Amino acid sequence: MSAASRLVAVVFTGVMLLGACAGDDGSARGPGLTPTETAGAATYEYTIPMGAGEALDSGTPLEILPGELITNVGETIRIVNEDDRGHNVGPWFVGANETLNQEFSSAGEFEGVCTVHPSGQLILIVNEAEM
Amino acid sequence: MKAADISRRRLVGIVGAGALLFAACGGSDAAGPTGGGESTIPDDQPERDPDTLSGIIREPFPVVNATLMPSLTRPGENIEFKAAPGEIQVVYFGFTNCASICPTTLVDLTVALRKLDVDEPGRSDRVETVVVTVDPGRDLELLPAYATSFISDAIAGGTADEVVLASAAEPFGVSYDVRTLDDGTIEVDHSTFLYAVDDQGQLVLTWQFGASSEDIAADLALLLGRSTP
Repeated sequence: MSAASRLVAVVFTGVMLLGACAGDDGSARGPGLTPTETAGAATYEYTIPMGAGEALDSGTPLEILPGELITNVGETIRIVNEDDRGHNVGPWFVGANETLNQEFSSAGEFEGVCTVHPSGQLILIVNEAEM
Repeated sequence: MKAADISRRRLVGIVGAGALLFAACGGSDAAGPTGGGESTIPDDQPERDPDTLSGIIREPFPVVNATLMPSLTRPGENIEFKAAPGEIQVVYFGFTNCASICPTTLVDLTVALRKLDVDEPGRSDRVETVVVTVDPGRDLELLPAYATSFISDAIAGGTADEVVLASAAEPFGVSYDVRTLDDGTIEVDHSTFLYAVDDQGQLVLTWQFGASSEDIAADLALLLGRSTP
């Protein structure tokens, strides 16, 4: 069974772990690996502002990312979390005061929980790169 | 905790973009260990930039080795979430009754490790696999055999100490919830990511569920290349 032939349908239970999911701010860095992928602008850039979690707690709807994001292979996304708690954002988790970067390397479609969108979910579609 | 049901379907090829937070794997339809998985290595995947990581990079790198996890493979010893010098440690949080997400991920990792060796024999020896259970109530005895049914030298970790498990899981961003329904069915929700940790105890890369074995292998090759002792 190749990856391309698999069709998996799974029920996901999304749970907002805002406080509980807060990532380590990881300020300490040893001589191990260092980031090399994140220079330059990303195709899609989003910022979760400080106080987003508190706003959600108070019932204020936030729409920091779109409910549906259509991308192409080879494009990149960057999510800067300036909040003091981690957030689940579709297929990503970005910890407190972290920056997340990813280049889409393969086509696919995904629906996931999003704590910073009123719908509570984010659909990500990655299309094959345009020739 | 607030819960919402989400359905996911992998439609085309690999989901370099798939994955998420919580996969509900009901205990009633649980599948056991599935063995070593695929033996073939697809070669029809589109080419990718060999110098670019496909996984998720979180910066600053979360430091994940503050909490030690009891080893189930070697009782009495602890697992540190930190690779040996010049190596990479791949960490997965799952459980043995997981019907699809966990075995799929571990098979993808198995194939990725084989691919590493195809390109450079012995290279997978520099990758240590750690599987930690989020369902210690059922898994503490079962997990070592489960983990090695996929990857022969995988190390199993787990603890019934909820504080230790939560403390270990937090810097990864791992989330999980184990609950028993009225009919006795045990349901487990858990995040579905696969993690790469370097020799400084830093989480340097995260793969979403659905990341292809080719992408995982390519990323591991890159990380190993940068992890010279």
